[in-house]
Amino acid sequence: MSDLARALRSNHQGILGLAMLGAIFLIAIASPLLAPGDPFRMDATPFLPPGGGHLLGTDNIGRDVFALMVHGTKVSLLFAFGAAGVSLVMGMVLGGVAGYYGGIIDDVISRLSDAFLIIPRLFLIIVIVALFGSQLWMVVFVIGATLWPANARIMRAQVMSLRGRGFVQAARVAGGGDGAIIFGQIAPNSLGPVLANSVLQMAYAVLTEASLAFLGLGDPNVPSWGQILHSGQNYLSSAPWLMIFPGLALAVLLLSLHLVGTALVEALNPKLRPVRRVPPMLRKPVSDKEA
Amino acid sequence: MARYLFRRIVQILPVVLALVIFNFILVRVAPGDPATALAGDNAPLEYIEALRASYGLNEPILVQLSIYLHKLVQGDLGFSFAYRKPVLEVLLSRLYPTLLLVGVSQLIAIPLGILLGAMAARYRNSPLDTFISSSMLVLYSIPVFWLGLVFILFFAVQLQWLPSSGMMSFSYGRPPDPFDIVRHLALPLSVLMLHSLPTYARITRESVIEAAQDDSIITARAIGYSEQIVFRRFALRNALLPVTTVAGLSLSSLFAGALLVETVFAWPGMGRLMYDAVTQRDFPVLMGGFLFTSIMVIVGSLVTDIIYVYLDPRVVYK
Repeated sequence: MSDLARALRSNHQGILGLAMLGAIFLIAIASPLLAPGDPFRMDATPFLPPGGGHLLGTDNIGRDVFALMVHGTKVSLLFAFGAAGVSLVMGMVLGGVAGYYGGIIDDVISRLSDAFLIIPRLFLIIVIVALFGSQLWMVVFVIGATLWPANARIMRAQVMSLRGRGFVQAARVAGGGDGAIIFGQIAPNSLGPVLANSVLQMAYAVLTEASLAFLGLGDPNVPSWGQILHSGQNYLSSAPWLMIFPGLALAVLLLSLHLVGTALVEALNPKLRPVRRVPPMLRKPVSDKEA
Repeated sequence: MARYLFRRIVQILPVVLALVIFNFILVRVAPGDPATALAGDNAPLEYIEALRASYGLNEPILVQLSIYLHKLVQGDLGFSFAYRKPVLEVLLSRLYPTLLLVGVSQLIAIPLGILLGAMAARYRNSPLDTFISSSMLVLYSIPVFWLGLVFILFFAVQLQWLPSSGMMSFSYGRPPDPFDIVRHLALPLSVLMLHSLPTYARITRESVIEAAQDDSIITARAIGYSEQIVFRRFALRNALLPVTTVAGLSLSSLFAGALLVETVFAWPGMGRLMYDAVTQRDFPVLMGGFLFTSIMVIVGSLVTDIIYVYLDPRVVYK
């Protein structure tokens, strides 16, 4: 673990990502202070450009864009943690069970996860939202439920490599049941790769929520960045600020998650760690004179 | 090879069947009347009643399923009242624009991505690598629909170089002008290409770096091949296999990207059709589009599997 910690600490991109993520968190937590009151209230002149009383301008029906953006941060983070959390739990349980028991259980779960990996996820989510409505928590769950196979695969591989190890056998000799062994012994030891993948899945969840809201399939009762983009796309030339700020915010959040996720993946895969000793063929080519 | 193909096709059949049954269950468990969901919101009442009879909606659920499967096998995906045409006909009429957009964007993105990734890996940790890697990461983080909006704002609204929407200008009965289509294609194509580019560049870079640490590289170097040849013939070539795998796996994200890009640019493909179906609550087109796209993705990944086998002589197909 200390090796991992060192690899992480030496990864400047990961640290940058964490700092950006921290700042976004602070904005979400401080949202009642930064933009007090109902962000949906329409008490300003529509289409006010940024500056003056409205830092980021106002939208087509006279709402303050800054307030919408600040409160939209919460929705993005909710999707990041909610959907990735659902996927994490489902993936670990299904992958753990598949890897531990093997046989027909493994076959069924693996085929199911193959099917989920191959179908166009966004299309499925759009169909479900169109049929079932766009209530916030349902969409969080649906996105999470389409993401689990990647986690299940990682978990399954981990369980299969760990289940014969000494500490697992010791737990079994000590009288531990299957559940206690999978989730008490094996799961904590396989958490690393699953968590690294979860950070990347958080980015996917944020992006999917924004895409749905942009298509007009978001929950209309909560402000979100995608929602501002949805209404802003009709006023590209007259009010470009409606589309510039939410898109930038999305890109920054996604970038921070990608930075942290990639840093974790690299830290866990020694081959990809930034190396001091560069293998000869990856060095800059040396001209004959120097050599 | 024929046996391998046959086995793979047999393998994907259960997936397609599961998908169809899933589609069926979705409509049945959705809130409201399944007949309304099957007809879409703009259908007249008499049609909904006729549909209830023809889909056997008052019959037991398994009878309904067999009727549904029977209709699908005959290519009957339902009737769209928004377009007053059978769903399959509506879908097929939108297939060509989507394939044009997706195909050409990949024809550019794959070689360009491989080139950028290989350059980054070849000069790992150099300023060039830092530049390529970080710009790919930033590009990867930009939502594709927002990139589309930015391109419209910049190239269509500000500079007025290119049209921002549609596939061709009104031509009043004249045959469509290919140059006109190219002008309309330019923006959505570039955006979708830039959406796919980072995936290919990144996987190429990572797999070249991994391949460069392989024993075969040490052997090749020991034999005395020049660094240039070691890189091109051994490291890069081995690294192309993961690129094929990733290309197959990213098909579903590619079609998702196409849906968003088509929506932004009003490109008359299947993605835009799905979007319109959502806003008009035209469920037959929506469900049909989902099924159709899924099957395209499944077939597409089968094709990449075959390409993989072709590229890697070590994989024996039987």
